[in-house]
Amino acid sequence: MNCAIALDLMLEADLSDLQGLGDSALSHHVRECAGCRAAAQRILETERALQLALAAAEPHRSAAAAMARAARRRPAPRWLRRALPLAAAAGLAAVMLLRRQPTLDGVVPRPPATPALAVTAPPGRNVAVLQTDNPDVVVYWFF
Amino acid sequence: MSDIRQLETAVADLVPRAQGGDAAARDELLRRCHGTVYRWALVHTGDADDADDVAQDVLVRVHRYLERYSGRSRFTTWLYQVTRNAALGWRRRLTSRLRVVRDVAADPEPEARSADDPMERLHGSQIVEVVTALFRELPPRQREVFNLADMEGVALVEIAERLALNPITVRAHLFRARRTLRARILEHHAELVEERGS
Repeated sequence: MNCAIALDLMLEADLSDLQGLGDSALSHHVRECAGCRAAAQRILETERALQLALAAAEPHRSAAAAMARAARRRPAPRWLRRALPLAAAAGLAAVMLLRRQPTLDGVVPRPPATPALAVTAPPGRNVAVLQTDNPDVVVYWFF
Repeated sequence: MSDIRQLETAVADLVPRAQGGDAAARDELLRRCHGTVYRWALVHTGDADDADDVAQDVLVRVHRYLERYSGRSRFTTWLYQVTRNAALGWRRRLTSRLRVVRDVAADPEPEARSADDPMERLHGSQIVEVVTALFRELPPRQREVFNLADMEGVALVEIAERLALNPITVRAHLFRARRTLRARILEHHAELVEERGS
């Protein structure tokens, strides 16, 4: 094996081959060729430095602080997360119903006493269906 | 002993106690895992602050879902999966945030790296800095495989299992990562290569 081939093999070789500890042709070459041994040594030293650096990295927060911080950021309960889109959809539907009332000059529009509104949310689907008393108005609310 | 093996030994008796409802054991388990989880997160994110956030997320997940660890695999394998999922979630959120930033800013300035960034603290020689920077720039999968194989000493078969990849694919990622990093190392020491490479 010549040095050019050895250098190319070094780029992918296992660490034991770079150390000259294996039975491979590269290992034999590294043991016998001082120049290639020096190149292999550089690779090993640099990777070792990288390894030490990674191993020395420590989190900035303690585990307790991280847990406390996470507790402060705890999301809203699931029932609330589910209810919010439905409440928003109902609010929107109510606004739409009110806006559809005809307005007469000088007459303040008044909402119907009890707007008929059926809200259904099929389980497992991110959609709510709002059926109003007007058959032409059906609101699909995707959340 | 590698970081993973040390952790495996350290938490062996804590895991069943924590699963059994022992709060002190659970807190100690989280404390012991934190450093390793942070380092894994650092490899995934390449940024100290983001690694802190991912590590925090992992601690919360471990706290909540420890009962789901069935003991069929090593605890560190399960923990690695939890970390990996948290990091992937972080990456998705980051990608989406970056998309928003790109939309609103014509020329977004890259966020300055924290002076307290452990990756930035690795001095000693210029080449280590170069390789550290290069390591950070490797594609995530290559960085992950290189870290597990050459930095933590995990066997390729085990890496393949953890990442749900074919061992040949793992080897290909490892070789590509090594080739990129080592070529730069040798490039930096051109005097070692010039005479020999001709």
